Amino acid sequence: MWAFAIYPLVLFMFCVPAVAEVRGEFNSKAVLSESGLSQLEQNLTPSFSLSGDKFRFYSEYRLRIETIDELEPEQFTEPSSSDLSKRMNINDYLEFEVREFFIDGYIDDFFLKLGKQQVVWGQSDGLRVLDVVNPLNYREFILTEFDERRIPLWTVSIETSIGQWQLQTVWVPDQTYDNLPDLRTGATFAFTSPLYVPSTPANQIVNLAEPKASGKIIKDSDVGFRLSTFTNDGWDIGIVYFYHFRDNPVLSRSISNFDVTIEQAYKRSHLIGISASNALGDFILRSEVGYSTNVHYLTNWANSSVDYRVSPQLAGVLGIDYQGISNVFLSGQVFANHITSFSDDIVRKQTEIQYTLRYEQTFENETWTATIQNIQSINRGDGLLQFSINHQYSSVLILTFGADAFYGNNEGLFGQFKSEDRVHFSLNYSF
Amino acid sequence: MKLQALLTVALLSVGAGAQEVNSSNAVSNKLDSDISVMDGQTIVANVNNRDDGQQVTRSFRIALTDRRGVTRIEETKGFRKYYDDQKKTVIFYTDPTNVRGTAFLTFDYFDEAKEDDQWLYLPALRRVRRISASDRGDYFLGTDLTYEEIKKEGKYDLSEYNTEFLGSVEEEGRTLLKVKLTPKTDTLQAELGYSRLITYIDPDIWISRKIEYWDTNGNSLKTINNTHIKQINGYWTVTEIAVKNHKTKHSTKMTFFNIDYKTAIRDNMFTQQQLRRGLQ
Repeated sequence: MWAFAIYPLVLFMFCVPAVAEVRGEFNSKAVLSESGLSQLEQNLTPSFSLSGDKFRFYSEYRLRIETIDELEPEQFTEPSSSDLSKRMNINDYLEFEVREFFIDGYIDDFFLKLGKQQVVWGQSDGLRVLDVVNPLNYREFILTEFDERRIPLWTVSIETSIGQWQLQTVWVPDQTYDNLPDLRTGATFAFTSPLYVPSTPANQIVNLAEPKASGKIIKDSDVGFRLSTFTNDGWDIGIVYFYHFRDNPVLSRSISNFDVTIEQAYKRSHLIGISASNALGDFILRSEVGYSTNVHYLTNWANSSVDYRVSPQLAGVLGIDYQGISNVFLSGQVFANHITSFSDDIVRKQTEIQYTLRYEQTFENETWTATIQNIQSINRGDGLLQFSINHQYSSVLILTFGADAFYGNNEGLFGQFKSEDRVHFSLNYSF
Repeated sequence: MKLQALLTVALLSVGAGAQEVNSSNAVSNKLDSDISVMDGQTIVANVNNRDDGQQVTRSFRIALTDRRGVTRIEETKGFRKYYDDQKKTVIFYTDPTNVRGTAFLTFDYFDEAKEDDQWLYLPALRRVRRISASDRGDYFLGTDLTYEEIKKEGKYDLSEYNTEFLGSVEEEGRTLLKVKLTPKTDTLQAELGYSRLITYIDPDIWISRKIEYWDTNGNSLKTINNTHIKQINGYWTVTEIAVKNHKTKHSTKMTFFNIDYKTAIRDNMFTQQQLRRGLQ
């Protein structure tokens, strides 16, 4: 917690004279699923900022009260998070989290941002090829906004211009990875698909070892950069390199007598990629491609002599937005992920393809917004259909009603949750 | 924040005083005072040639009132600067909290053949999103102004209109020049969202005091009143705009404040990086 003590000193050094500001949002959400009222929670997210002549301090917190505790039953330990990034689990129903905590500002031509923050790269919506700096929280699978799912990390970010290019370098000493709901606690959105959870013989006792972070802050930190530019003919180009630990654990078996212990470890990878986007009349073209080394793929443990295979991965997204109809936003994306050195004992397909479709329309001077969204796996046919209608009742009050429906093969990423269809209502008040 | 809504506000910041000419061509406020020999083209050309400064920084408050009388208030801070071949504008939402951090950037090219470039930063996505600049007749930000109207700020691309000088009228003690502008083709009318407009131009400052619109069916559409105009740093500036949509009964009032034409604006203010960083 050293950073929390040091920052105020920095504030005094750089942010005086300063303007202080307190803001926040209160969100109340209720979810009804087949089993009845399955989620009832209140989130208070206050923020405090201090803006000086040269630097700004910004911090945001979240206090969550869960009256019904089915998403993360019991008190969680967050083994995938570093000590500095863990949420404060006060009891089964109450948690506190420092969402963001940073100082940013200019020193000559360099823009520095130091502290707990989000770094977002790439051009795709909801599909991750280059947007891999921050891990995700799958507490509600992918049903909430990306901003809410992304886990901020303690990061040093430095930006500067080099001719017509902008360079952002990041150093991420924070060893925090994806937060996956724990199947053993009966969490609603715990993964059960064999694509992610290996099968083990029924006569064996299976233990799941907690993932372990190395604790070597310097040696095991992530580093990378993004170069971006805007060309004369209207293209936004980005080039990304990131040397990092992939955020999902690699599973392996450790067998002794009739006990099987499943070990979880995180593995390093080099990612290099490029993104490009442009406006072509009423259409926006968005694309990104990434090549990752040393990606580990789960095998079918019943038939394979090894627990995983290692191969490079090539992934890409092509997206098209259409804005040619008044008050309507249409968007489609195709995402493909290819294993370059495939082996038949890998549980997934060599090339996995998903598509997303989004239709959004506003009414009544944009006080009402209706959205329909679909994401589907081409390989398995399973998917997720979402509908929501949102009403801005006043400047500070927004009401939302929506429904989420999973469909398709139980073994698919989306089909595994097809018993978790739900409708939800939320109220958002800002101050 | 909704895409169209943001576009509107962004363009509004171009708003009072903006024009599609090189601002270095400073002209007197009363460019051609011999009204008796003027035609519609000359009058509108004088409006188009009014100087509105090399750059401007301003804040503005938008009040959106629906037919029930419920009003939403939003506040932004905007920066606009002319370059050799383009005008750059950036807008940052500052209030209310649920839209704070949203930002919009546009490069408006003087070459009519080159389409503008626009980007939107949405805090919920944490990503700068490229957006289309082709929907010029759409209403944005829930306001009653279109992209085109706000971008042009009472100025008009004369190659797209037939003009007719309807004579002088007296309103509130002022002599105003009444000019009818009709988009030349049905396609242009459909793009712009109206069949004709009548603008009431104050020849002392070459700014419209009032503009009346008719939709493509010939029905009364809306009225824009530039209710407050004053000279700031030597530039005539609209500081309050009131719009009434006669069809939807919705209205928009925009109030500009902290207007500053003198303070230099750094060039990196108009970058995608700045959209992500927000106001410093």
